[in-house]
Amino acid sequence: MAEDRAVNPPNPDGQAETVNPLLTRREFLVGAGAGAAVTAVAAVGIATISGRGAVVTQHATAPAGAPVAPPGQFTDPTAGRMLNLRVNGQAYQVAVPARATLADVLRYQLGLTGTKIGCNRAECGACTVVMDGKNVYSCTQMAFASEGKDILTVEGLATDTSSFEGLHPIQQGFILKDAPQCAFCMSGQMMSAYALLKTNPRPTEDQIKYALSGNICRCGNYNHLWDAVAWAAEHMA
Amino acid sequence: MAQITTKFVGQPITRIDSIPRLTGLAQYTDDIPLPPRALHGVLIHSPHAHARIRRIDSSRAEASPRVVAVLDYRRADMKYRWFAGDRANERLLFNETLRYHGEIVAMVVAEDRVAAEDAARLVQVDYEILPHVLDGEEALKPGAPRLHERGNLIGGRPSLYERGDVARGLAEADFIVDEEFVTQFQHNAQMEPRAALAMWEGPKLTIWTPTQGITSAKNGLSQDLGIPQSNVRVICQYMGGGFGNKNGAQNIDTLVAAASKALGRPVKLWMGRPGDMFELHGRWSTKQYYRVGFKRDGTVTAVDFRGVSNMGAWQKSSGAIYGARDMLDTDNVRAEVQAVYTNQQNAGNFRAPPDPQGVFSMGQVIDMAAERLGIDGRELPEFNIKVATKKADQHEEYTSYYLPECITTGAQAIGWRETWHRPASRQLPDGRWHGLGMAWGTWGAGLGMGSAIVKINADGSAHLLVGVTDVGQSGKTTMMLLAAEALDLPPERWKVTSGDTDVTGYTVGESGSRNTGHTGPAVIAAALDAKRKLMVEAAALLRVQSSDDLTAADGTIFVTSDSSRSVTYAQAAARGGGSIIGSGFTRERVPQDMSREAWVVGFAEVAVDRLTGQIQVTRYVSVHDSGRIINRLAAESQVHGGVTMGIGMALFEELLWDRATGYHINPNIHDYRVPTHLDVPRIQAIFLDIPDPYGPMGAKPLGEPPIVPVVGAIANATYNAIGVRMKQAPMNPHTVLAAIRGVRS
Repeated sequence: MAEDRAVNPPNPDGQAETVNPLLTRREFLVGAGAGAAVTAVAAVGIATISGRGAVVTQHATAPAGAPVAPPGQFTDPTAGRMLNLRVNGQAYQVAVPARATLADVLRYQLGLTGTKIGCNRAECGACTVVMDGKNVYSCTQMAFASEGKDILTVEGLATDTSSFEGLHPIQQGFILKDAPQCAFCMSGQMMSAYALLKTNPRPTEDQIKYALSGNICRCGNYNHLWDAVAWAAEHMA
Repeated sequence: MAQITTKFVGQPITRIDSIPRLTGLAQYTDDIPLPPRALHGVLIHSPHAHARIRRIDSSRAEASPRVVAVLDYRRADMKYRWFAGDRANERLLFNETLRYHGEIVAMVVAEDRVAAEDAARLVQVDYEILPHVLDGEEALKPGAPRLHERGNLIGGRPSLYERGDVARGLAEADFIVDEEFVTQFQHNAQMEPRAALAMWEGPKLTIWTPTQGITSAKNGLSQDLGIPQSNVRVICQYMGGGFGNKNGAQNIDTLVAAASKALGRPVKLWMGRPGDMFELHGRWSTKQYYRVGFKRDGTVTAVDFRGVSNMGAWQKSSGAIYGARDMLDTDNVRAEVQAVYTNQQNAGNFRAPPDPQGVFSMGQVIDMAAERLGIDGRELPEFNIKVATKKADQHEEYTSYYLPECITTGAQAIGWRETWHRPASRQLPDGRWHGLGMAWGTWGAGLGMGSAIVKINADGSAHLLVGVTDVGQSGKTTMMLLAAEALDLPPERWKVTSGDTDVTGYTVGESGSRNTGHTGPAVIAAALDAKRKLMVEAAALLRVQSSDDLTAADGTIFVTSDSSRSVTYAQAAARGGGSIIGSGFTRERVPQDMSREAWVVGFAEVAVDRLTGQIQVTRYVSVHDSGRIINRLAAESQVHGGVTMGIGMALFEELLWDRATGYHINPNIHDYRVPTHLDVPRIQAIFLDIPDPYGPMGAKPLGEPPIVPVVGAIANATYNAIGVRMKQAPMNPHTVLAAIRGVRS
């Protein structure tokens, strides 16, 4: 019966069993949520988001689908010092308080909520981003120490989030090998995988485990995570 | 055995919501853009294990910039009971007497989170410190500090199950395995800290919260707040794990709802850690005493069991301990459990709540008996089959019973016969000791009530609306697959809307592995109802007398006697106004005098270092009779997850308190160690995949079972490795070395 269904991409492993990724534009819309008060503002040019805590001046077009409205007021909008950040290839100018971590600014001021905070003290890895090619815990990386760095978050991985083809091979591998369960840790896992594959394009299973060992998956899907990273390595070459 | 031919069910299918989950688009509660004028709450937690508040001075905090209020027990408009947190329904949101380290004292509410955090440090609380008790058995002794007026024994008496005559059974035994076991407090430690956002529009409350049950959260909030259920809307699109500690509405849901009402503005609270470690529960710790009688031929004559479950300061769950009543084929059982209040934080449901504790012990009792009987270890799987329950409570037939097949399949997969050796007889080249062990258990596979809506759109696609929230178990995809099968419309043509009580109907909630069994039949019914309505439209288009003359397959409806005359689902749906709506409401029951169980067997291989006391699990095989498997890919993920949590419980997870002060020692996920990439082996999941006569397409539960036997299997494997019985979990270097020295840790 497999031939009756759109298999996309066709059987990447050459294995007998076919994994059918259900990836449609429609599903992406399901994800945005029925009834949830979702305001995804795809900003073009200069977007000033006031009343949400921060004045964010954005100099580039946001990637399609990336939520820009941050989830609430993190701090007094009139306080803080202006900071220049480069995230996912875009320049941001944002006023942040001295205590703000990079995770705080990404999530609550830039609206890049794909980076999660699980522990807020460098224990769980949910907040992992790639900074100048290395995976770092953004919950313990001070925002002011992030100026001048090249920062990559999960929102910067895909070229187009409306289809499987537009995803980064790491994301594709994670889907095909069913790495996510609750998926709260997944951005962090993928960013660690990204940093690994940059320096070691064909890692062994042990190297994958060590490289991702700072990222806890409480759903315990480690076996599938190893398979997912291995799949990505194979398809990034 | 019955064979059900299916197109989509049983295939490995990737998740319907994969893209949002892996691109950062999925909005978890803390990601949701706030409504205008929303406030932020920050909690103050008790610094003492047991104390009475003499005085709170919040004046400095209230005078701080951007602070709106400090809420505590003094506020009349915050005096709400929180039912889910206390079965006696005496627990208030804020209590004057604090019963555990970390209990909520107050909430500071401000215009932004930074202001609230700063002000929280300015609240002065004067505490009268009271004596505390942490241990369950000590709490039962006369003169122990009392947690509540009614005494520390919950319900005033133990829960008791009896069948047959235990005294006679023990008297008839040739020998008795007489043992004590201890298990720890295991924290759910889910990745997403609890958060909630509440907003009132007149009398109507909307709350965004990560919950494992939108219906029970709605009903819980309605009860706590004293408002009609229809005035509560609960939304949970994505949530980052819970494993039982996000069941229904938790205290912070009621708290933010009450605060929002009192202050007249939306309120958001994000727990963070360690707050989340304090306020969300974990698996109850136990002390267990067994006397199990055996005859020389291996017959079990009696199980006499007494257990003590430490439930913490309030009762959130039963405190039951699985196994004594359920596992062995014997007419004589006495199982008594005392659930006890202590000054530990609350215990509650964590994946298979009462099971791993009991199988840790019962699994080892079976192992010990086999050894006493002189059974060749290679025959241990057969011995387990022999002593295992054959009927529930000795009289209820199981609807399907493939435990023996699970055991033999798993034994073969791990190479039991070839690999088993005498205890402490196989040293590995690296100096560690090799061991092999097994254990098994069950999970109740009840059936129940569910509801669903299926719409067929004018373009021939379909839309399932169902309350099931995808907590990571792939619930949305599972429900869609059942609907896809019933409507014969491929998965990629489906959309699923879930997790919103205003949009979907009753759902049992993501607990107890009940979604498929309870809601699955309703999903199928809704799809069939929609199909029936679609066929009526098709009959009109094809000019046939009745839709009985038609056959629907794969998005096309044709005249059964002449397949050249056909219409597509899209054409038929378009005639139906663009939206054919089918509904399903079902109430399934397991037949009377029958018991429906999912069976699980775990086989563990370990390497044990006698010098350091470190145990490493090097291989694990998990075999399941979970009936028909709906989605093999997600099923495998569930098994890996359950086994991984079991490894954590077996080897290192334990929430600890300082005896002298009652303070938490490790309320964070660094010192409370959960398994990482480096702690788990390759886990082999095997599904017998035999349909049960009941349940949707023959499916039985799968989410809870994998963790059930893990701790017991690893304990038995450890005994096989070093010849030392582990009677205390976790089996960390501390307890292993103590056991090697022959002392209790």
